[in-house]
Amino acid sequence: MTEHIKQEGGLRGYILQGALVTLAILLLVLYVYMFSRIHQQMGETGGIIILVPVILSAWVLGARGGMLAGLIVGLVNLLLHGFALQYGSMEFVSIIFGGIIASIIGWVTGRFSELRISSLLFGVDLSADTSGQSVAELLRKRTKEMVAGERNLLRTLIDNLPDKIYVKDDKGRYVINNMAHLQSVGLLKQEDALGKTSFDFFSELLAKKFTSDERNVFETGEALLNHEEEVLDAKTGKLNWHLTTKVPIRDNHGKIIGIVGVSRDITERKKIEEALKNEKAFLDALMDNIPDSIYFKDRQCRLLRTNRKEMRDLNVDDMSQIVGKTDADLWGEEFGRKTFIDEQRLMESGEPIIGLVESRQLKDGQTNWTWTTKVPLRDDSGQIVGLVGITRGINDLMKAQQEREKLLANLSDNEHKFRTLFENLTEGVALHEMIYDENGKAVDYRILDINPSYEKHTGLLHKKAKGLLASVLYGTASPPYFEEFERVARTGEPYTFETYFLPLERHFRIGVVSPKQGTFATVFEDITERRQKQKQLQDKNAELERFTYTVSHDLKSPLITIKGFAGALLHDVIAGRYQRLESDLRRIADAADKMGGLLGNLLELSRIGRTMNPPSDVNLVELTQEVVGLLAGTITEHEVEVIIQPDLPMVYGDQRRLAQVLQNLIENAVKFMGNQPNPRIEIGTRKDHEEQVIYVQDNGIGVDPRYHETVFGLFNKLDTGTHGTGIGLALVHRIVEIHGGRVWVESQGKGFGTTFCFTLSSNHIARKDHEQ
Amino acid sequence: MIGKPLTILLVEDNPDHAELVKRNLEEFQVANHIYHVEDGEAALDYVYKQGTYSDQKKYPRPDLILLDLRLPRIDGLEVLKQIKSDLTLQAIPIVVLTTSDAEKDLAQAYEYHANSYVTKPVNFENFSRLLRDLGYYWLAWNKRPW
Repeated sequence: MTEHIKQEGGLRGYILQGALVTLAILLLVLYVYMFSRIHQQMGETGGIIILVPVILSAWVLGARGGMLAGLIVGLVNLLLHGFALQYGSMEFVSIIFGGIIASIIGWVTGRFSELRISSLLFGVDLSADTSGQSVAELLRKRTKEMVAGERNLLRTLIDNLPDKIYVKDDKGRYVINNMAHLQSVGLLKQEDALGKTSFDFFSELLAKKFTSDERNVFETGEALLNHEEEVLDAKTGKLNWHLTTKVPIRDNHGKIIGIVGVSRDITERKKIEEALKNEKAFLDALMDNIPDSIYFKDRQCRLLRTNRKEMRDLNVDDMSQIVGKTDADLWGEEFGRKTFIDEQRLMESGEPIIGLVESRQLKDGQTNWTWTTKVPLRDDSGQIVGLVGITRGINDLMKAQQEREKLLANLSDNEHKFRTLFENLTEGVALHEMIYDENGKAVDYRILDINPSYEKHTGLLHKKAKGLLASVLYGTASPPYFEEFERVARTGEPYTFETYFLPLERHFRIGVVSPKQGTFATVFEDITERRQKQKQLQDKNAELERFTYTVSHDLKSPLITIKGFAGALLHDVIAGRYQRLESDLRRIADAADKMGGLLGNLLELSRIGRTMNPPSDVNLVELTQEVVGLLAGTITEHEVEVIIQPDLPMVYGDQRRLAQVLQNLIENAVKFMGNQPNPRIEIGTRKDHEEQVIYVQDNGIGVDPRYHETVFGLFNKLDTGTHGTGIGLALVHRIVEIHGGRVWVESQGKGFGTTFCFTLSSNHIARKDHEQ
Repeated sequence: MIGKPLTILLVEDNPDHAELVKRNLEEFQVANHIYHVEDGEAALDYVYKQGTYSDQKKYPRPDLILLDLRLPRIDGLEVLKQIKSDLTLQAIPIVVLTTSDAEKDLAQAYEYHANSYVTKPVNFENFSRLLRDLGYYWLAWNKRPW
């Protein structure tokens, strides 16, 4: 509107202004002329000078002021001149005229001044519609318009503010309500609110409260500032939060005539605040109720904030007691140094520490194990400004872990013991699991593990056997001992049996136990040797039995002879027959001799086993020569050629017994020479499969292969025609046996000669010989 | 004497014992022929008419065999077993006459179908009586198919 005025009066204003200025200049010229005329005789120019205050006044005070100033100047001039009466009537008129002119000049100048002021002050060109109106009137009007404009402006302003603004009079009646306020109470127009009070819009309770607040403002004169209150929104029916300010309005005399209220809806802010408060409450609840210590630290590792748990641990009641302190202050130098280094590294690198297990010494001397995670704290720009850490006490956990470790160590110790046992057991041990078909029927078993002894016993290698099916491993149609193993794996009852395992040609004693259903362990003991020993023992027993039998038989035999012929002799003597006397007596004597010889031999035989001469190195060549020397009589008698091979070995043994062996064999050879025209005996040695064999070979009658075994039996004689007790070869057999060797006979049969061979165990073949 | 005198094969390795047996049997006139062999091999050769004993006239089939058990070369039990398992020979009565009174030998002998088992008595009188009774039994009382 202001703009409009300015535009309307633009051109006209300038023309009027130009005319006024021209008129003023003309009047001034006229006045100066007339004044110079009047004052010619006076010779003074005072009339013009007095215009100066008139113009100044007009300039300052406006048109009215200028006119008034001109009149006053004129009046003063008239009075000065009139009282002096030195002028004529002409002069008098001139003075009056001068006064009028001064007034006009004052008015014009003042008017001009007003125009300038108004345009300067209000930007309003008062020259617009001047028709019939004085400048003062115009100005008044303009002022009124301006006030209206300003009110309008204010109205616009407050109506467009989001805050609710209202003015109440001293009776609490609304005078002004802005749009926001009107809408909030469900109205559209200002008129509808005028004269209404809080009770018209709000609940009684609320209205009373408002009224009370406002009365307080009235009474005390103090403004109610930023008061938060809950208000029911009439439109939405929701409770809203308002931030209300109520300020007293005073008149020019300072009397309170009303209040202005500004109310802002802060529901949103309240909500956010509430949410924040909740968040904080959650955080606080979390912080204070979590059993872990939570703490925030600044860049220098000083404590900023912590939670109740940490405070309890530190035994402080108030957080201010520990804020700003470092770990070194709180937990001791050593621990503090360590965490400081860790934390500084964290804050420099930004790398969090996750799940660090630490221990610290508490004041009571106990070790406190902790599990800690620390992450950097960053500000908005991403700079690391500190850290947040969470520490949990894990003493129980550590204790449990230590016990577990101890248990594991124990376990592994047991495992180790078991392993050692397993690895070093002389019995072969194998662990198996049963294999079942889809019907749950056991069909095979698998080798899970075997120990070194098992490898040794069976010759099966661990890496080959492990994991294999038994049927595959042993190459048998059905897995070995399947029935027995299956029963043990099913019932869990241990079972032991002895068996001859044909694929390996060994005797085994197999113990089967089932550590859990479906698995079983077999303990193999190779009893082949024991079996052999048993067999040997059985053989020995049989031999002993035979021996007893033989002895009883052979000793009884001469007894029968003696008694028999003694009886016959007696018979003959009684009957007076003497022709058989001599032969019968001889038979008796011979039988007695034979019995004596048998007893002597038996004694000798039994002695061999019991008494041995201490072993020594024996040169067989020398020993043979010695024996041959002893038998020189018989040998010469039978004209036997004896050859002793020079390569006979050195042996280590019972020299006397070995001599007996040689003696018996050579004697035997001489005895069974038969009708050989060129009897010959050779004593020598040969190697059979790395075995040193000593032989006594003759070219005598030979031995039928049928009797190669029986010749060594006690008292066994092949030929009843020859002398001897039948004990010689039994003796040889026994002596060789004691020297760990074997004795056997080789002969193609009758007439092909005989070779008796014997060996001695390797430790009876002296080393000296091997070195040769 | 009653009946035909017996042909006896005496298998005895001990010449003294053989002499005692022969002397007793002759004294009681039980046997007209006693053939004596000293070992099991010879005994089998005799019954199978082999080797030295191939002359059937000279070495007739025995009516009775007196068999010692402990013999050189082939054991008496083996001889017994072979004769008794031979259909042509098993009819010949075999009396085991031995020094052994071992139960094992006794059982074994009967298992091999020995007809009788007697041990040689140490006492001469008993020895004589045994042979006399033995002779009478086989000669007088026992019926023979041949």
